[in-house]
Amino acid sequence: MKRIVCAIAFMAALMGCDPTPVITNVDWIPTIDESALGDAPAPEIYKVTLTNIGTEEVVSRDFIKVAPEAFSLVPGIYNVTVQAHGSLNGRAYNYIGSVSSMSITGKEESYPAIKVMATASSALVFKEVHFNASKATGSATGNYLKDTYFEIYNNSEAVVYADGICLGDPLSSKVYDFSDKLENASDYVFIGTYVWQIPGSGTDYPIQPGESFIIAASAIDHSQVSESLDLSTAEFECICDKYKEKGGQPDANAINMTLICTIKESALAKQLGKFTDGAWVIFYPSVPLRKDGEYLESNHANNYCLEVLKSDVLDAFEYLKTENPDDKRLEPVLDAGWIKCELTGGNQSIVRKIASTRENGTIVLQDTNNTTEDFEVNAKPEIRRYGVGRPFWSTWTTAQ
Amino acid sequence: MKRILPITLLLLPLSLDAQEAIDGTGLALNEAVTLWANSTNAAGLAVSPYREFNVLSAQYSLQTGDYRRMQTGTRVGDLEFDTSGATQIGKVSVWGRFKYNNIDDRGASFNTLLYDPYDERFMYTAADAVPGQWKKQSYNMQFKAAMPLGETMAAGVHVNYTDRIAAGQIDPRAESYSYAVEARPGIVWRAGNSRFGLNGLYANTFERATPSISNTQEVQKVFLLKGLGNWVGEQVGSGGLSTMYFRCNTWGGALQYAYESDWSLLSELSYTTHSARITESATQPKPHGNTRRQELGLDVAALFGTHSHLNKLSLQVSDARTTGIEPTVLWNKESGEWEIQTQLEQCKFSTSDLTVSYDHYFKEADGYKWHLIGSLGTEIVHQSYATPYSELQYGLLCASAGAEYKFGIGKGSLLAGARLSGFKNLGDAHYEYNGHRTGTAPVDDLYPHNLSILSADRIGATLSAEYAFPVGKGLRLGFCGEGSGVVASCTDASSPASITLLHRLSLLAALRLYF
Repeated sequence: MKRIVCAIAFMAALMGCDPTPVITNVDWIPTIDESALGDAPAPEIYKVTLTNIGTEEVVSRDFIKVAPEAFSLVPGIYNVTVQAHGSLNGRAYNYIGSVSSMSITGKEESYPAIKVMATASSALVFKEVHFNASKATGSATGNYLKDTYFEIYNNSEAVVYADGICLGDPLSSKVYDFSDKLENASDYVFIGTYVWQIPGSGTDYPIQPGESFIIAASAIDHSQVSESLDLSTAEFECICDKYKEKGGQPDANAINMTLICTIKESALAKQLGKFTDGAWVIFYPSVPLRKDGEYLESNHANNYCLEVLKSDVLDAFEYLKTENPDDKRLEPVLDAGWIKCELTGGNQSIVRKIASTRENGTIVLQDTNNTTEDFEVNAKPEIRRYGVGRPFWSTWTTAQ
Repeated sequence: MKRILPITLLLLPLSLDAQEAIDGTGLALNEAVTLWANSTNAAGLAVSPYREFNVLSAQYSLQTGDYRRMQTGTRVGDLEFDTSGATQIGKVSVWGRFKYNNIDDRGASFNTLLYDPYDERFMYTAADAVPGQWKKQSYNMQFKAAMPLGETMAAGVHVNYTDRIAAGQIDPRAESYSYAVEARPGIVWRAGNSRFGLNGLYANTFERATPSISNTQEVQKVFLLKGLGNWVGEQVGSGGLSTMYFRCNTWGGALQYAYESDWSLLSELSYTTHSARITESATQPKPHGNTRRQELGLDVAALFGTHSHLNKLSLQVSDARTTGIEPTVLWNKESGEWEIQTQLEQCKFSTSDLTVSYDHYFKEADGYKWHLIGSLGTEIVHQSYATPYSELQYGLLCASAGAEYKFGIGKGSLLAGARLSGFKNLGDAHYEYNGHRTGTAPVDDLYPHNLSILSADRIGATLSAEYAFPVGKGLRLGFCGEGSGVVASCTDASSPASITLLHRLSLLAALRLYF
């Protein structure tokens, strides 16, 4: 009997009496490396955002350099982003630095410093994007995929020109690797499908402060055939000879974009594809772009890309269909966040928030290089929201 | 199936030459008095063997109603084929069973992958809020054999094999295949009126679930559950969640002590430990979590009575503790594999049960005339998540009482039974969530709902009847019907003032052949 009692006591001890798990948080103080700021003024306060890649929990707080306060974190692996905004001589700067997959478990002897870079805010920014298409009229399930568009806004106080600006969709920096194909591969973003370019001699398409222009997949009145909107007033449309051959797309009154790179031929059938999961950049190439057939093959066979210097990128945004930060394509230096979108056919748009209004009534849109903070989802797409101006050369305007 | 069925058919009709077949009461009494058969030590069959029997049962049951956890359907139909038997072959006592279930489960949600979504060992699974439909089939084959080794010792083994498949019918759907094989070798030795037993246990459990979507235009969002409402996002379709693998190794053992004179007693102390790991993809295994589960049990049963009366008093105590370990993984581009960067013990779940039950039989011929049943028990559940700290807790007091009476009708008999049961919440049932998933379905819907179901004050009633009659020498046929209902007073965990009455109705019809 004694043995049985001993056995019971032993097993009870083995199983433990306290059912509550205990995890001790780790104190972490960010180390910020400002050596790459150049002429930009060093900010006093950074916003530090940590995303636990195991739980997807996001912790965000201001970090004051002169009075550093530790973050109390669950041990884990974190994507860390620091951001700040500043201005000098009337020029706005965005500061951003990031470290991916930083181990903060309390066992580390030291943590890597977060190198911050400063970039002047871009004059041209994405203002509104209709990304996930709509439903065909009278159909609960039939998706209508031709009504997507990008609205691009002059957020500065100077005239800029749209001529030569390119639009492309980057591949995931986490999945595709070109380090063995390209020197300084980390200086580039890699476009995976196609690149559309606005034609022009360099001064054909001026955009005044407070004006925007529309790049539509197809510049027709889509409201006739779907629960969508009229895009017949768009300035540009993505129609080219290849499209006409493949899809029989109507060539509307809008100026046709130039398809200068076809990296993935099969994607052409999808108009401006990537309806529920993608990233887009506008850039002005400072060096000639590769031609068709010359693209780099990634570490995944038969997946090619066009490299574009990150310094050429004017603006970028990203939308994901999941809330998993592992799915994010763009590096934080281009876009520190992402926005969650509904599935294809949702007829939604994302629109940039207004930061302020100038004395002359033009709006200044929020541009912190962080889609999560800068954009919000709209249930119904609308072009030229907030009453922004239309360029004088708009074909629709001149046609009236 | 092709392999299992012939083997089973060979094993189970073990005593076709038996004299007069026993009926349902004889079968129940046989189970009650064969104390060692209720232990985990098969060697005990050599000490207290079953009376020879064979029973073949085909039944259909249907459950409907809203008193259910989210992962259970609003309507569950189960077609079951069950056959078992025991006999003596020379010195070897053998017992075998084969059971087949075909289940149609409609309206269940928060289970994207698993045959059994309530298995705590596999808590790191995917869930979706879409009410779905599952088609499930299960094959279970068990076999016990025991033989004496000399005058004072006996050895035996119990082998249990289960093979299950499940197929989700609505996106996001999954096809699941699982098996569990379990072996329990044991010995028993005698010293005077006392007998001592020792047995071991090894089990291997495996489930492979492949999620998919039929409508590729609509990628489906799922929650990869972490425990108590925590989750990370995933999707089915378009390169999302791939095949999930759930593996578990189980080790354990038990000690038995029995005393036999003009009364009998059997006590068993058992310990089992499970070690489970859950991964995604066979070619690039991505760890999703590990669990450890320890179970400690004490079972004591005593039989006493006279020639015409039999009393059985039982005590069952069990304690189960599950620990959930969450890894954080990163893809290593160089080695081409997922690497665990850190692991945290986030979940601690415990369930403690205590039940005292009493059975009284008024015996007659091969069975009983009356059977009175009563039981009283408690169940205490406490689950906690380390950080963000979250907690779920409830306690129940359970009581039940019932009776069965056998009427003689010509050459046949009608066994009628009634049973009442009640569950009383012991208070302080609560679910507390402190993380960043507030406002999402697992936190707002799944856990509050399931807690209100599990902790509800409720009463249940069961009425049953079986008419059995001889249809030849050594052959008896029984028609059985049973109906039961539960009415529960469910409280919304987020709004304790609101109480809803929910019910669940179960109907069963069976055809049984005793031979």
